[in-house]
Amino acid sequence: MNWTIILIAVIYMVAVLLIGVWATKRTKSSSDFFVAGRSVGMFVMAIAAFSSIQSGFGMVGGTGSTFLNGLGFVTGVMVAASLGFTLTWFLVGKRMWKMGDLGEIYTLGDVVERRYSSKTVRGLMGFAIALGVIGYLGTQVQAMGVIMSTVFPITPTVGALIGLALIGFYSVGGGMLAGVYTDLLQGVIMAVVSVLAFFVAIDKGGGIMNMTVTLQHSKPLMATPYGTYSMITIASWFFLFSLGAAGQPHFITKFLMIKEAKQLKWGALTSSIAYMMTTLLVIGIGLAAVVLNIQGSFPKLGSSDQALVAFLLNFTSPVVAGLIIAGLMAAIMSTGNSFLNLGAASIVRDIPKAFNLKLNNELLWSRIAVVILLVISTLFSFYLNTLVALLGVFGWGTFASAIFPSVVLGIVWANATKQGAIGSIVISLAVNFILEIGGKYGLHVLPKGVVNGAFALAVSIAAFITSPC
Amino acid sequence: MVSTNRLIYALLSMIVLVILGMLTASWRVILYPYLFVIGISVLIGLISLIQSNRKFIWLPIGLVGLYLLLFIWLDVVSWGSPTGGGDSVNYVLGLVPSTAIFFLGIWPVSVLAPLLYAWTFTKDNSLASRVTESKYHGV
Repeated sequence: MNWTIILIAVIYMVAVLLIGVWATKRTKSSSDFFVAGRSVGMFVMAIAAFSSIQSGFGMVGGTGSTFLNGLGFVTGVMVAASLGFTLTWFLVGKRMWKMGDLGEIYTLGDVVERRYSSKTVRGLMGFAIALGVIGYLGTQVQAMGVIMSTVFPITPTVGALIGLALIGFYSVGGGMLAGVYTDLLQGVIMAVVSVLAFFVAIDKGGGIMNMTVTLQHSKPLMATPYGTYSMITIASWFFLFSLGAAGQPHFITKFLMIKEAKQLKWGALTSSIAYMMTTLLVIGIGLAAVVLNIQGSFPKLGSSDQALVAFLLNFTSPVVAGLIIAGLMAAIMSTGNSFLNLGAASIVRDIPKAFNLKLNNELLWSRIAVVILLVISTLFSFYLNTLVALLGVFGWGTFASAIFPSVVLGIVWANATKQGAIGSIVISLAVNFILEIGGKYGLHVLPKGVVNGAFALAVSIAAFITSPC
Repeated sequence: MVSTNRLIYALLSMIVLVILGMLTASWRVILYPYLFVIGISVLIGLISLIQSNRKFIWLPIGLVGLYLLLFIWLDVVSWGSPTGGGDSVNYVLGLVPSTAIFFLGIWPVSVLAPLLYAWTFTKDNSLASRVTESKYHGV
């Protein structure tokens, strides 16, 4: 326990709470709750988009992966994702904004119903997103517990509950308005501290040249952009994480929040650069930890995911460690908030409307839905680990394969059909479930190294385009 | 004339190759067709601009060409080496050549591409694809 780290973490949490209070006072309608009143400017939107994409998975898991297997994760996932921002802006930036200008378009369910005149597509979209949200939230709960327990003298369970209470406070009250402005704070913290962390890590590793030579002498593959990953995995990731970015609901719904089309112009550049800055943290600390481990000066770890926190606590000053840990909390909370909002929209708006039901006082029900989602995901996370793992299947790959064809290609292609949208969503869910669950029970359909989500994305795109009218 | 229909079918043909690459565990058959998918995606984004001024078609072509050049260079540097070029005794800013090509060449294209978006943004003032505008529900 270090009081400097605790002080920085507490200051960060108080700032988030204050934004939550401010946003709660300004949230008066469903539009405010789901799309921040369509009032967001370029910088806020771009940073919110980047910070919702950059989660605990990327920063904690990415650093652990680099520590264990070299740069393959960064090459295949993080470099690809930074390109994904631009592809998304090119493909749907203006078109999604235009969609949002048509009236009450707050969710992807609204978008696909408008596009295909089909409540079935809306219902399927809401169902897929709701399932994915519960799975994703479960993983964020666990990550929050780990980070909180490194800062405060508490157990991971208590840490997760405190963190969730904080996310719940500003998500229930301020909805997406609170979400985008806390994302702004969190995104700026993440980006700035990541650059700082990169230079600290390179210094601790003895400089880039020294690090390269040390890695070469230990295991030459660790000095390459591939690490110990196979090329088939890296190529699959590169496809999934760049093109699939346009299928992430917590990202593309941000286009519905922009107040004017001209705000789109510099958004892709802002998001890409901010994401690249956070990638520097993963590269720097991941490789520095490997080098220090080779030199015998890195502590023994129970899991590679502990590499980042172990580096911070053992090789940086409390101020630097506190700032970076605040950045990690920011990564987890910003993603968690986005998913809570998406889940509430699916439960309160998309699924009922698919059955011709409309809830009175949608804002109140949305706030209740956020609380219910928090409770469900917490219970799943604490008591039903297996279920969380199964729902976690609905990660990036499932969102990409279910949403990219029906939403992105549907918007850009006039000949897209309702049948194609329904077929691609069903196929994407089925392929992901079968491949992931089959893999857990020893049924490996694809060649070793091929990423299931990448295959599902490719197949669902093909099914969408070739579906009969 | 470039049309969205043609681009979507070009996208389909590249995606079919990507699927074949995955089924046959051939990473080059995944990666290289995907570079064309990147170009097609940019073409789709710029289609109304290109339909009004064909010279803008060189932007996605140039982007794909740059990616192809860099990835082929990386392939050549790494190819035939069981260590992926990790045992090289040559260094570029402290990195082995394959790592330098990736992180000093391929990664920065992620900054070049959004600059192209910003540059074309004011030239393409249609706000949404005029091609699809009239065909579905007023969008």
